[in-house]
Amino acid sequence: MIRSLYTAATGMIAQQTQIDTTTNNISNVNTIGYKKQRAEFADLMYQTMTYAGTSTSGTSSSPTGIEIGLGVRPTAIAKQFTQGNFKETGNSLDMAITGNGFFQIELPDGTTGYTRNGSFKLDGDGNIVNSDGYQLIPNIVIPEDATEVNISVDGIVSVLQSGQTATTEIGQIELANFINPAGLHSLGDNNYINTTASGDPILDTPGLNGLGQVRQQFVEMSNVELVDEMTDLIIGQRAYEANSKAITTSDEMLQTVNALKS
Amino acid sequence: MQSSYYSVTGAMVTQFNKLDLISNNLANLNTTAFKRDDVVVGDFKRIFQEYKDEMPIKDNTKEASKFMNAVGVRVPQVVEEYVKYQQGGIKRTGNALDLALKREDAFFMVETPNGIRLTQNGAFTLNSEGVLTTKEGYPVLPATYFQNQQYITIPDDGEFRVDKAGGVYNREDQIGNLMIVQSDDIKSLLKEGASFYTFKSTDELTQLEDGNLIEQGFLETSNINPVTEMVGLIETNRMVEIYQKVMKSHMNDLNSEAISKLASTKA
Repeated sequence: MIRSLYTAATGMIAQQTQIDTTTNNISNVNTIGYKKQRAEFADLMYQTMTYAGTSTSGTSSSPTGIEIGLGVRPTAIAKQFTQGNFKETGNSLDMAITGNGFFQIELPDGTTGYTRNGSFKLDGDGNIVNSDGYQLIPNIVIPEDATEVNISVDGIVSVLQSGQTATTEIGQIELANFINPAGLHSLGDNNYINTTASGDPILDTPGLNGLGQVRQQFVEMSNVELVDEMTDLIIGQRAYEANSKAITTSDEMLQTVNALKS
Repeated sequence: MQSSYYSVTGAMVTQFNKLDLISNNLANLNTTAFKRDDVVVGDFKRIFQEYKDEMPIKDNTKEASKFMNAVGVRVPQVVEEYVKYQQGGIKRTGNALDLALKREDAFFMVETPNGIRLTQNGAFTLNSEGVLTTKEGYPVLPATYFQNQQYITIPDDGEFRVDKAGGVYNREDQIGNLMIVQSDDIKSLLKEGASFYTFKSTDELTQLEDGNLIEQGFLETSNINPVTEMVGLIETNRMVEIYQKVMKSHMNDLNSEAISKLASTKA
């Protein structure tokens, strides 16, 4: 019937995706360890009306051909693993990673989850767990009589026990890194799991092999920049409107054609 | 029927084709590095010229005017389409794998399953082996690709830096150069969709090694100007209305008058 109606519809759907993604970023502007996402688009395909090289006369041929594009499609919602800002909390089990890497968490089904959210707690048995009660991997148990917990920048956990003057080392935090972090699958709750796209985790101590260091008593804030998101929101909304105008124009033109026969 | 009737019909169809094109431009308002399409609507003279080239006739002769009347069904049509490669905006993303090309006639080279393609969309990523690819997972080609068929592979730590000339570094070590090309005949490039362009042959491509081509951490936005497109929408809309008026006045007024007057018999 008429291509432009469908073309403009793909435009509206794409801008809807842009608004959805931006809205999710804005709603997570205060989520610890959240990484912003970005919707990306590419032109859909082209319908050829005249092939390049078709002869236009005995001696000349069409140099470019005539192709009409059929719209747009979302190609990716890409996670952006840039560093968020640090916030000092004073809580001795809060950790932030300065650079690449993820904490490893044991999910209820036994698989390993990965997270940038380092606000840890203790459970009843002294295990270091996240807010949902999932244990940190490798598991570290804080003794009951510990009065002070220290975590060094390279992830060594030591405690001062009551009546002692020297600290005791009780564990070593290990971070995981991926060749392609953008390929991780988001589970929600700040957790990711690895996929074939992200590659297998590369485990090492903090500060080595391109991994970031651990900063105790800090958490990493969301890397969402409100100014950028507001700009994207405006652009998305206006592009949505522009595409709706293309639809109403197509409609009016068809009405004009219909009015030919009164 | 009168030939002008067909001309107007052709003009209407042309306007609908223009509408399709404007809709596609608007749909891609937010598409990374999208370049605007536009068409040339052939006027009668151009079509006449093409016919005249076939049968050489001198201008301003009786034969010429006869011929003009013969091909005088002056149907406008879309005779040419072109891409406006003007630079779009540059948007800061802060993502190391986003590369913006700073020249409107420069392209990255990508190996797709259908063969090698050009693109200006520099929103790249790494696959699980650490190879630099597009978001679809197609490898981005280095300058030395035709010598050794190797891709650009970033080591485990994922640290990736690109200088303005397209040199790729991991920490202090240079691990390659991006293949940045320009076409000797930019008009011969055809859009394929998914931000890719097809080219005729690698002989027509020149490798660029000039020092200021790439900005890392930025992306080129679409070069569509909504104002231009909106004006285009209004114009096509009104043009179709005008053509409709012409057709209706032809049909209703002229013909009905001719029929009623010629066919009426005086008693």
